[in-house]
Amino acid sequence: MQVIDWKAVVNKHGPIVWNTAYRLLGNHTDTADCFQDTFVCALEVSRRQHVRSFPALLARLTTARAIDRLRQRMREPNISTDITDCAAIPGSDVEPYQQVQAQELAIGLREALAQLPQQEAQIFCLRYLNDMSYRSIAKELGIKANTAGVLLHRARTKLRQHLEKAAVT
Amino acid sequence: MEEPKDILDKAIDALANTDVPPGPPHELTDATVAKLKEAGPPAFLRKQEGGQDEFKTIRFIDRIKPTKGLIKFAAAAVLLIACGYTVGRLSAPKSPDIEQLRSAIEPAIRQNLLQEMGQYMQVGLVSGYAQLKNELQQQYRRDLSNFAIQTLAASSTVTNQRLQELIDAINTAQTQDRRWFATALKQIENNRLQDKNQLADGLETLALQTEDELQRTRQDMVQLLSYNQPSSLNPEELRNPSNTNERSKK
Repeated sequence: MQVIDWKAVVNKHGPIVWNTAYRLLGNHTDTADCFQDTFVCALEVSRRQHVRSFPALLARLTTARAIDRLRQRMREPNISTDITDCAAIPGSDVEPYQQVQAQELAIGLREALAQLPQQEAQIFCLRYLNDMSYRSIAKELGIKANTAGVLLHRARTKLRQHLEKAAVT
Repeated sequence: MEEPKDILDKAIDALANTDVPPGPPHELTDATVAKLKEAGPPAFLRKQEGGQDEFKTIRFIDRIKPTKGLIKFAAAAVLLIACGYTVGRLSAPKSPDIEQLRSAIEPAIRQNLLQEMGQYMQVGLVSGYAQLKNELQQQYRRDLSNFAIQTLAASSTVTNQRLQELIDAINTAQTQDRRWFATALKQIENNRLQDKNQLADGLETLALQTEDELQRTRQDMVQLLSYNQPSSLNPEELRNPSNTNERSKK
């Protein structure tokens, strides 16, 4: 069994987990919950199996927890799906309308991700938010690289349809 | 020329470039580490807890080992300083008259101090002014940007609401038009059926009358051919040919 200094792991990989979760969830409270859930899951995984790469494992667990939380948000009608922090101050080089457009697109993409199948959403996030290669994603998820490519293509198609439909309505 | 991105790529860019506040906060990392500790160490580490103190002792000894030389050096330095201080105190000349010395140097010190304070205050005021101006400018820009974002979001919401109302109104008007159109078609159909019935009745009446008239004409023709006076004609009618014409008109 591995001996893991979790304090060091949290300090070293915490920022990556935080960034990934915040990009997907968009607010501080959910991100903090997702952060803790991710490391607790990592602890459970480390007890069951040998962890080869913590960044990849934490990226996978973070995206999975964040997508679960997005779905939970979509299922509960009382919770608004576009709760985002207002603390983000726009830079001086970005126009306000561009900022609004970017926020709307990000919210739409989060809603669309919540409606995708779990594996497709996870592959999409690992590829485009964590910049992982097909091979790394396939290795981490225990599938073939070709399968990962096919699932990613399906995810892109569904997301594009959803975004175009949302843009029309 | 750069190709225009489709909506998915734009959305990916927007999501990937989301402004993430610096984190995670220390409280969160501490809470997470505490939670992980609460979840408990692995079993084999729990078994080794008895040897933990020994491990700590060894680590403490190892830690102070490189500082032993430093402690010796510090003690020697302290001893040398103390010796120097004692020699200096013993060999120092008698102290000068403090009051005389103070009165001699006080005006010069005061003058220098005033000049330096003036310069210092001036530099501080100038830098403070520039910093304040810069901060106010940034604050003003942030406020304006926030206001613009909120205004755009609010106007977008109101526009969507108005568009929805317009769509509802158009749908209602179209439904009303369709209803009127159906009513008119129904009325036309009713009129047509009524006209058809009237026409059928008229034609039937005409056919019956025509048949009666033909029957009567046929009887008249038979009587005429048999040289008999038609029973339907009066002698008056035979004398007056105009009556015959009237009958034929009938």
